[in-house]
Amino acid sequence: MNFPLNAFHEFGVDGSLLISLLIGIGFGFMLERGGFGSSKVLAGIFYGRDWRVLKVMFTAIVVAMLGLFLTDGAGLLVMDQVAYRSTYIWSQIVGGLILGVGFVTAGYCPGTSIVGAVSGKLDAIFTLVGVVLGIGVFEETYVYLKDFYYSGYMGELSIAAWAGVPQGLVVLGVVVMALAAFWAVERFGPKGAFRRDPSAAKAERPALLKTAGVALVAGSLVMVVQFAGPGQSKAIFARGPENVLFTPKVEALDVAGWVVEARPDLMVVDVRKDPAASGVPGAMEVAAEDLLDYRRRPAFATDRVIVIVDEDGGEIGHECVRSLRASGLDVVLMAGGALAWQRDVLAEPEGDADVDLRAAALRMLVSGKSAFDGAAPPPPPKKGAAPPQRKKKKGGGC
Amino acid sequence: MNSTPNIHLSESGAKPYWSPYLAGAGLGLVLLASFLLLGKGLGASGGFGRLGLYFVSLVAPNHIHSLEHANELFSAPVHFMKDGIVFLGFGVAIGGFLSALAGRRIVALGTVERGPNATKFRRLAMALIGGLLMGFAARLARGCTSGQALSGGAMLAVGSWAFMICVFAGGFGFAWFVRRQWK
Repeated sequence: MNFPLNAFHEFGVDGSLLISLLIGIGFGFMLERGGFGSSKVLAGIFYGRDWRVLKVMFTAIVVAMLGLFLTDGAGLLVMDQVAYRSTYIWSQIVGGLILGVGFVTAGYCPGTSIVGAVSGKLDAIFTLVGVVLGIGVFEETYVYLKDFYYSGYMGELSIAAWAGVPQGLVVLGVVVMALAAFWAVERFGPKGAFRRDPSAAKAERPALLKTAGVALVAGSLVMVVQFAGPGQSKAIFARGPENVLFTPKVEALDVAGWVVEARPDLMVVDVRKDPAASGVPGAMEVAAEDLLDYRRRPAFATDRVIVIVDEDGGEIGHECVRSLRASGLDVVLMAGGALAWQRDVLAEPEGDADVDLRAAALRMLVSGKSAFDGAAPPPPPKKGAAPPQRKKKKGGGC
Repeated sequence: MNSTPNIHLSESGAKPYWSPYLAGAGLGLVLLASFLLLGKGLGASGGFGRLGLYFVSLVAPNHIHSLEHANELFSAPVHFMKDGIVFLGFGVAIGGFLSALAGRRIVALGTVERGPNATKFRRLAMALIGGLLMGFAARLARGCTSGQALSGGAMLAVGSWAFMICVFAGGFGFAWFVRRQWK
């Protein structure tokens, strides 16, 4: 069986909404069980009164992470089809700080305010209303925030790729870190199980130690599976940062040269919504959302060099390159996208400006006058891919 | 470890919460189910945004068209309320209610949790202001504690961990200024 299920099985709109509802019920149930329906409990962490928030949150992260990377490492999950959280480091840092201030002020975070509200708490209802209003403030001021909102874009960057260490090692590291944090709060926190005074909840110790042991074994197992298992994403996520942080790029003029000389292994893919006439000749047209979908993407030959052309060599192009590279293909992004192609290649140079031979030859090729006798035509467009059915791989959107 | 739970609420009849590690493991399994079934994590603030959009669309739909970011959602081919994140939010309400009911933790509607010497007004004002800040911040950071910290954290995304660290930094750093609502 392949996961995520929605990528391999058509639930339909109603089906996936029903699944979302059921998952939501489980989410709300567990939040309330953990004590997150109470602002006193939630705010308690910030005053060192109650470390429940840390315990619940890190346990949840560890459990979900282990399950995710176990299925991934075992080759049961197409990680590429799970909506990954792109990093926009500056807006996330500032957003995180403001959200933290809001959290300690309100005593709830957005999700837990729902749980507090249905438990009858008026302060939770006020928080809930505040969150909706705060989102409104953002939408109204978006024009001024837009630049900052997109600042610090680093792509779908995992800690492993960023630090240049294997994914399995990061998984085990997070388990160890969580256990260390749990030990610290159980040792020094109020009513901790490992306190060295009479207030210690000693009876909890054996169960906690057993659980910690299980977590360590599970973490090690996932690490081994990540290293040795058949999982696909292991390779990309474990590669050095250069492959992920810096999308490999090629200049438009170089692409022009390749098209003119009819480089046999060249494959240009135009992912623009509306590939106009100004595109690269012979480019295959695939909408970005189809390209990003594992199921709808055409089967590319692994011995080709794939050049992705988007509007401006921006975020969409980066996503496409990253996604295809994840499948082990040799993919580069054309720097500046179609804009650069128009500017550097198609536009006739003015006056006595230096004429780039590649661009000049390309322009002749486009206008039908071959620059060289017998120059091969550009690679034929290869139409593939089923027609788009629905948009995939959208963000979870908290 | 469920045998000697800490009792946090003094309301009469309220059952103790689960061990935080047990509730956390349950939460982690729910999150994992979301990843494996729907190919995405959990979220909350996205549903709030769509709910707000719905209210505004009732009174001033034309205004939304003038907002670049909100209009993207509003003008999408699928209605913005027909999204998993909205139903997830409804589910949270149902699940939270069922759990609170079973745990006898439903309090009289209108109860305000606060410190013994804090006024209701102070606490409610804080709750509203805090909510406002969080709504804004959740949009700026593309997610809140559920979508970024929990879901992105489990996927080991760099930005989500930076976000999570900053949430705690902001919370601990500002705690002193808002302590009086709990005194």
